[in-house]
Amino acid sequence: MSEDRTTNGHTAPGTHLSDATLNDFASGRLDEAARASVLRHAAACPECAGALRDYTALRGALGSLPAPRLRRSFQLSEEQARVKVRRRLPTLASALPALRAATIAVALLLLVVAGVDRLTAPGGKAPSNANFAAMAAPTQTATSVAINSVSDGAANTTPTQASLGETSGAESRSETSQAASAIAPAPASGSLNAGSASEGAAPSNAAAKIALPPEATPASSPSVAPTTAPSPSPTPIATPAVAIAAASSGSDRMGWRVAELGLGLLLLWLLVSYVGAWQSSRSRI
Amino acid sequence: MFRRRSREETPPSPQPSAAGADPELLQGLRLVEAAKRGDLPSFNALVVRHERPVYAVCFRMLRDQMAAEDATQDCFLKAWSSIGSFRGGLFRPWLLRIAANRCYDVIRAKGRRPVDSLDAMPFEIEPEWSSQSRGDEHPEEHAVRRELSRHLEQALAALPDDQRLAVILSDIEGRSYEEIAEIMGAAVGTVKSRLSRARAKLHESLRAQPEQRELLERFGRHYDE
Repeated sequence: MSEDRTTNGHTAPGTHLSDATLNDFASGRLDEAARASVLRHAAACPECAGALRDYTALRGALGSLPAPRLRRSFQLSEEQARVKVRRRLPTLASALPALRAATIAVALLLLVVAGVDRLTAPGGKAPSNANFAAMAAPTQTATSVAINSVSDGAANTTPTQASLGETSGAESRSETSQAASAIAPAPASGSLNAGSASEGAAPSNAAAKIALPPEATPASSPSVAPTTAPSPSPTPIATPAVAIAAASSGSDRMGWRVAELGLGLLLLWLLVSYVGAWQSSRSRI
Repeated sequence: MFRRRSREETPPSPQPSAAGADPELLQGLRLVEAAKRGDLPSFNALVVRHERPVYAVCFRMLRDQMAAEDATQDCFLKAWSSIGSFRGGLFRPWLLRIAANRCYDVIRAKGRRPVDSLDAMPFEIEPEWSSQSRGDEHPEEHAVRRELSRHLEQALAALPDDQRLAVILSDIEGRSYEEIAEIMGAAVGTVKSRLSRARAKLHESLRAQPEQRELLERFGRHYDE
């Protein structure tokens, strides 16, 4: 019975009236030609005749249902007319236009923030901690080369230093010991101890190599104070400056990231609310 | 013996022309215009015109007299506060849309099942004249109709909300498919589909029991006469 085999109300032989045709007939929506065709078919098909009769009777019975009695009138009083409809919290469905506008606005803002973040990133890539370490490493390397070369020079030139130490005398020892107190003592080697009887001689000897005038050292100790090593004093100052610049840049980037994350979460919430409001509005019949 | 209720499936007329229009329809339009200007007596005149069908829809949707009265009152309060948004056309479908949405709000809020309410609180029936039966109706026919109505109300209450509303608006209130589509905010095809499914379920429900099947057949025989 549910198969729709009618065409403009004309039922093909050997088939039955469809539910749609029966409903349209019962609702009075068929034109005269279609109605006549349905009635002709019903005259020849007892099953369809019974269905047609049932659908027509059903609709007639529904139309004959008694109406519920009104116990009172619903006319508005002056007071009711003055009082506005109680403002409840707006339903999701009523907030649909606002949610739509807010979702679009937040999405655009997120695009702008992300775009500005990408465009203003240094080198197209924000310096990370690893990058910061790599930036500071050469400076540290230069510093360690200078220190190591000084200590190496002190060790390598021990025999020559021994001879120099003999000739400099006590005066130079006192001067170099004062200089050695300001500089971290080089690790004392056995040769130094062997070359000097006093305990403070080793650091003072190392300091002596540093404090000695430049013209005395190149000939005797070619490995001392390599000219390729930069002076110690500038490198300690450069390292903190780079660190501060890197830190400030990192904090800016973090701020952009936080903003993007916040906007993304807000957009997600708005999308969920919008979908819920849309579904709510659709479910209202 | 049962007087066939005539249903003129009039096409929808969003903007009925003044020339040749029904005087009552014109009077309704004047009342609407006055109500839009803030005239409360004109609005109350509209309430008197439309409160019965609105209440009937609310009652059959909610199956509870108190809830139906509250929903009907809320419907007219809402209509009064938002009558400025009425853009013309037929007033009753616009009212029924407000009423239907209000009923849906109540149903969603309370999660009520109409079948339970029907068994718990039988409603009062209007006098015979409102049911459009003739005064000379045979007692046996009257008994058949009353008994069939009881089974039909129960079967109607068991339908899903959207299908029940479609049947109420189409077969009980006599609205056209286009008006029902406007009231329900759905396409005409959707309305037809819901109506078809609803009638099929009602038919199946009435045919399930021999007593009810016989009632339907007897009613059909009298209905055709």
